[in-house]
Amino acid sequence: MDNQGTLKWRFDVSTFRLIGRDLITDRITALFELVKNCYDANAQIVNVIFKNVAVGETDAVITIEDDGFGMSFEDIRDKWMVIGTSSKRKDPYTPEPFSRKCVGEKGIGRFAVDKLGDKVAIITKKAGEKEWLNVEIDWAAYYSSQNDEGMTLFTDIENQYKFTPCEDASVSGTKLIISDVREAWTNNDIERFISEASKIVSPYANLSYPFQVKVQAPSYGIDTVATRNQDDVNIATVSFSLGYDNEAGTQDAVHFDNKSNTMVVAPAPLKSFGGINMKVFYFDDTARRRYRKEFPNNEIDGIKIYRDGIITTPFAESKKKDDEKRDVLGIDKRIWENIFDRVSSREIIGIVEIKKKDNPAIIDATNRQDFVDNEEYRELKHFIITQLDAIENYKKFARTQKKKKTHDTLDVTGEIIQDFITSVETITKEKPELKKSFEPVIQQAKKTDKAVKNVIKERKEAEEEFSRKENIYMSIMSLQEYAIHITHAVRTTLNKIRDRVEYFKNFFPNPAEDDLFLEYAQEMYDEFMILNRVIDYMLSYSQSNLHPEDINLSMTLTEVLAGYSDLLQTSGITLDTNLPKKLELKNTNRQFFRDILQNLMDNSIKAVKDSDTKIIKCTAYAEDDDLVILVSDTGLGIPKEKREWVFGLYNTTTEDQGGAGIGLYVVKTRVESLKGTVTVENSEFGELGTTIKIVLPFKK
Amino acid sequence: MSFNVVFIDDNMKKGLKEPFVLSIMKLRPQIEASVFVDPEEGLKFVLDNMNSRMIVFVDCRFDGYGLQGINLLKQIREKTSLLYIVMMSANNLSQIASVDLVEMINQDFIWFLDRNNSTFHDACALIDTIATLWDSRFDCVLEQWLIRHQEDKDKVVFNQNNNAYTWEQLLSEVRLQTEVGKDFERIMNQYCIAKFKLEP
Repeated sequence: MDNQGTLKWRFDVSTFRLIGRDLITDRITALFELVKNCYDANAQIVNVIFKNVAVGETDAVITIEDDGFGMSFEDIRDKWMVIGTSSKRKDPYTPEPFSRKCVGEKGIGRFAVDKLGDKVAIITKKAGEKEWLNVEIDWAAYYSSQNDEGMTLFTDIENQYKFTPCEDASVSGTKLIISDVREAWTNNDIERFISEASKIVSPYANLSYPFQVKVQAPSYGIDTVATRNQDDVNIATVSFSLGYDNEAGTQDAVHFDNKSNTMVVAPAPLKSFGGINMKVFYFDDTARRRYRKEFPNNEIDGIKIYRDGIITTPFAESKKKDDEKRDVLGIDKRIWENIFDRVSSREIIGIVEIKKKDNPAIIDATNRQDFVDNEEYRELKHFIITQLDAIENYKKFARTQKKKKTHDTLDVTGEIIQDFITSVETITKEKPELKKSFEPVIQQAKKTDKAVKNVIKERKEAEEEFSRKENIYMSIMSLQEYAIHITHAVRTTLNKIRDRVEYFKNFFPNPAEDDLFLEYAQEMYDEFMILNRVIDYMLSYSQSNLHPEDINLSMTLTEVLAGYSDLLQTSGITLDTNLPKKLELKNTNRQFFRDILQNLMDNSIKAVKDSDTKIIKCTAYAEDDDLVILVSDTGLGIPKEKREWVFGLYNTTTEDQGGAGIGLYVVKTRVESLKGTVTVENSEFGELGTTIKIVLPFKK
Repeated sequence: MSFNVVFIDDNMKKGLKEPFVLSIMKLRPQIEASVFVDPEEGLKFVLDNMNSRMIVFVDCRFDGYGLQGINLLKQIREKTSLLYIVMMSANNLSQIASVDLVEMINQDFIWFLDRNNSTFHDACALIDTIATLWDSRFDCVLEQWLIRHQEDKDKVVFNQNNNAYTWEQLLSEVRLQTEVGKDFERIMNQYCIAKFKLEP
């Protein structure tokens, strides 16, 4: 051996397995990767042919054939067969005139073939060349060579190539013939691939040069085009379409206008994630039934996000069952908040289009099934979900309309029967000889009239019963959520006490830590007191009447405030109230209003304790369809960055004044039970103190 | 050997006054502990110090914060898959959303500490388990070797894409799981196996 020299890295033969079969999670993703490469090669038509792939059949072959720009011998030698090369990284757009944005970047998509079968033949040619280049790769040979004696390197394996003549020099394209297919493909597997392939390109992408995936599987009689057309969304009940304008700095947003009862699109400022295009189609029960009948192979399956016209997430999702599909936008999680009005992903087809250029902060996650979690992505998710509010309000409107239509039909029917009876009676008065003949008709009409009136009465009762059940159901649903909060709170408190007791048990006494032990003892006492309050709060659920009742708002709030008169007087606090005397609230919960005001008063009293000016102001008024309650004080104030945080359990800005962080949590949960919102606003006293604003929708 | 244990939990006392943390520190004096009650601050600390040996205890639920335990886990995993993370919760596992559970289970180097039924002794046992794993992991073995061979830390030993890397830089690349780090680790492992095969 020489005393000096150079050494070089070599690749073990198993390398291909690490970047092929082991890296790509499933067969459908693997096939998808290969189809994506066809898109990047400017193909307009890709034929995916499954031959003899069924269980029991032999000589299975999968062929992927495109009419793209193909590869030269140099392309194969210097690019395709060099691991990690991707010209797409240097030039992210495909050659003109297509100028497509490349979707593959890593330069390893070609190894997807190893996931599908042991042998692959690549037949390719660029336009103008007179011969097809044939390269044969036998992955199994790579693998078996590992058993040979000595070390076999990946780069040592030789792959045969040859040229075969071509009659038409103008033709170009690439064909991958994968044989020794590793697993059988069922009809279901292929249908799933078709379903995914149909979503590769956004149906709204402005592709001057279309991209079609044709799938043939003679074993199952499949011969179809997988590209999605727009026929299915034409039967949607309602839809909206949003765009954006970078120059004007605007992003369209949609809301349901209660006056015109239509969805209205209006420009809003651009968001942190950049401008997006968004189209959503909503299908009601009837439209869904029609959809299933007319498009049995398609699904109403929620919102998909496309970047530069190509699917990003859910990426090649091959789950057949809806429940197993990933809910990356969190649409279906929200259903449990309000099962009656929330839109689920099975009721909508949505397309969100983003661009690498305009939405640089929305970055694909490595597993391609979501985006990197950052503030911009969270705002994008929030924006998408907020747009669905318009459809949810439409659903409410449609429900009311349907109910009204049923009412009107029944009322009209009742009137028609009455008119009929009156007319017949008039005739029999004028011609008494007909009375005998008409008598049975009149009797029958009267019976029918009575039956219709009964139906109207029963329907009214049923509606009231439904409304009552709906209220109880909503209360139970929110109760379930609170139970999780409360058990968490109780356990957290118990854990804190347990940790301190344990510290005593293990390390007491220790004169060097006397102060610490004293501090822990005081904290344990405080934690017990907090535990008491939490349990009181929980008990209030068993005491509060879940059955809705009508209340006089002013009277209810005044009763609560009266309980504070002594304390306010001794503390030198001025109470200023402005409550409408005649405001009656229908079908609500008195105890919840009491809890809300009590906790806000307790907070304000603590907050003004050390202030020079001590004023608490309580105002209530009606605004459009909402009741607004404002409770303001001249106390410490809440810093802007803590305005949301302060509603969390155990979060408090008045710790020194004895605040335990329960009051505003109770307020928030009570307000949410009443379907309202609570926020910390700029104080109506200016620089001084805080204003808490509660907005509650009037129940109609 | 000392290492960092970071606690991110909004119910803990700030500074080093939380009895749970103090108890662990008394039982395992070799650890250096840090406590963060604000998840954003905790995440920033972890991401800024990824290049050191660290175990991160993360509470699952942060009341009143946008960022939750699962978001911290995801954001740390976006940067490195090597850091050890212990998720803690006062809730039962059955109360954690199934999507979040799946997300947790599918990560490497993750443990769960049930705060209701576990004491600081259990936390210490977890720390010991992780410390044992450290002795066999590539980056940790490399780090320990470098401590013993300080004279080698600035030697260039690897070239990729026209960039030269010293032992110390490679350790950082492996910890951060960059492409260079992953390539180097893979090659070293294959090399060791091949060498062992030739010279058992």
